[in-house]
Amino acid sequence: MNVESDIIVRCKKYDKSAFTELFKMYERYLYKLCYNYVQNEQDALDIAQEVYIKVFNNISSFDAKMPFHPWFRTIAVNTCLNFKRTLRYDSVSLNAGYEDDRTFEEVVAAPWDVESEVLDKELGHIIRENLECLRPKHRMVLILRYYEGLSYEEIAAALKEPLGTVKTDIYRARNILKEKLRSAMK
Amino acid sequence: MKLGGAEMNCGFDREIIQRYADNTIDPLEYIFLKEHINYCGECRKELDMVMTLENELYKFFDDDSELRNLDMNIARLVDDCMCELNKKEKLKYTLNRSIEFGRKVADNSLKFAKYIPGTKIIGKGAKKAALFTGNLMKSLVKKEVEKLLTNLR
Repeated sequence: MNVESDIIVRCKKYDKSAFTELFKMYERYLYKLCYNYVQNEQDALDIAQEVYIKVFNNISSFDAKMPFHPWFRTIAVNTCLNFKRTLRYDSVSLNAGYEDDRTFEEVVAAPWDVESEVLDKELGHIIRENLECLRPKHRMVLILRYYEGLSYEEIAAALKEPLGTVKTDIYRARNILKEKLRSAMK
Repeated sequence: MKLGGAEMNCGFDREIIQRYADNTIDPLEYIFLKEHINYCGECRKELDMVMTLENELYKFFDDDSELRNLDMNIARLVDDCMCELNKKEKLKYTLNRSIEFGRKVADNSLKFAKYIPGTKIIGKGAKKAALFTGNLMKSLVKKEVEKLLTNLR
């Protein structure tokens, strides 16, 4: 997300309209990031509000020469990771057939072409349900990878973690979800 | 990468499959994978699962259905933040004014004290008393130390 430096300069002077503009710009991105992490509306709104207050209170310490988005993302990620969750979701079962004996191209093309809408929804439910069971950091690396589309190196920089740790985390998170999908598809 | 060293029964490096999904696979690895998939059912299933999960994760995190009625009431939030900021600024201003006022009162009190009759005499007396007490203490300590030293000898 590109934020014009002019808005940041105005925010640093505590210009009310600049803050409104900046927060509006980030509204959807921030809410989705928080929602993906907590998977419920109320907690997502609470975290998003907390993030905005932190941004407002710390904007004076932000270096306007640096890109704004990574700074904002770091605040959002840390606020999510420090948040204590409250809700749990009901479990969903799945019985789906499994096709085999296909070529490389067929296997690679399959998830986009063949899966029915119903099955997609059910797989989504399985992911949602099992995201809850993942460790908070594992959940966050998945969000940064699949929601933000960051590379492993960028995730490591965002979380201030070594690259190896991030790779291990994402490997474990994916493995857990893969096992759940595999057992659901049997 | 060591964690990618996990191998399946067929001995194929699972990480190559993940690298394909990540779009970071080498051209040579790609040829190798393509060939291998055509005869290994286990790796075909693994590739299928990896691609399904990748696809599902992208779809899952890209789902906008929760955003339709999003209204975070940003105008009110900014108002509240500005209000808090104003409160803090006011408090800071009041504290600074109080400190400045206290300093002025202390300065004026000292200036005033100079004009009270007898201030100089009292000041001199206090100095003399302090000097006398200091000397007395010194001599007492000296005597005691000397006594201790003679006892030791």
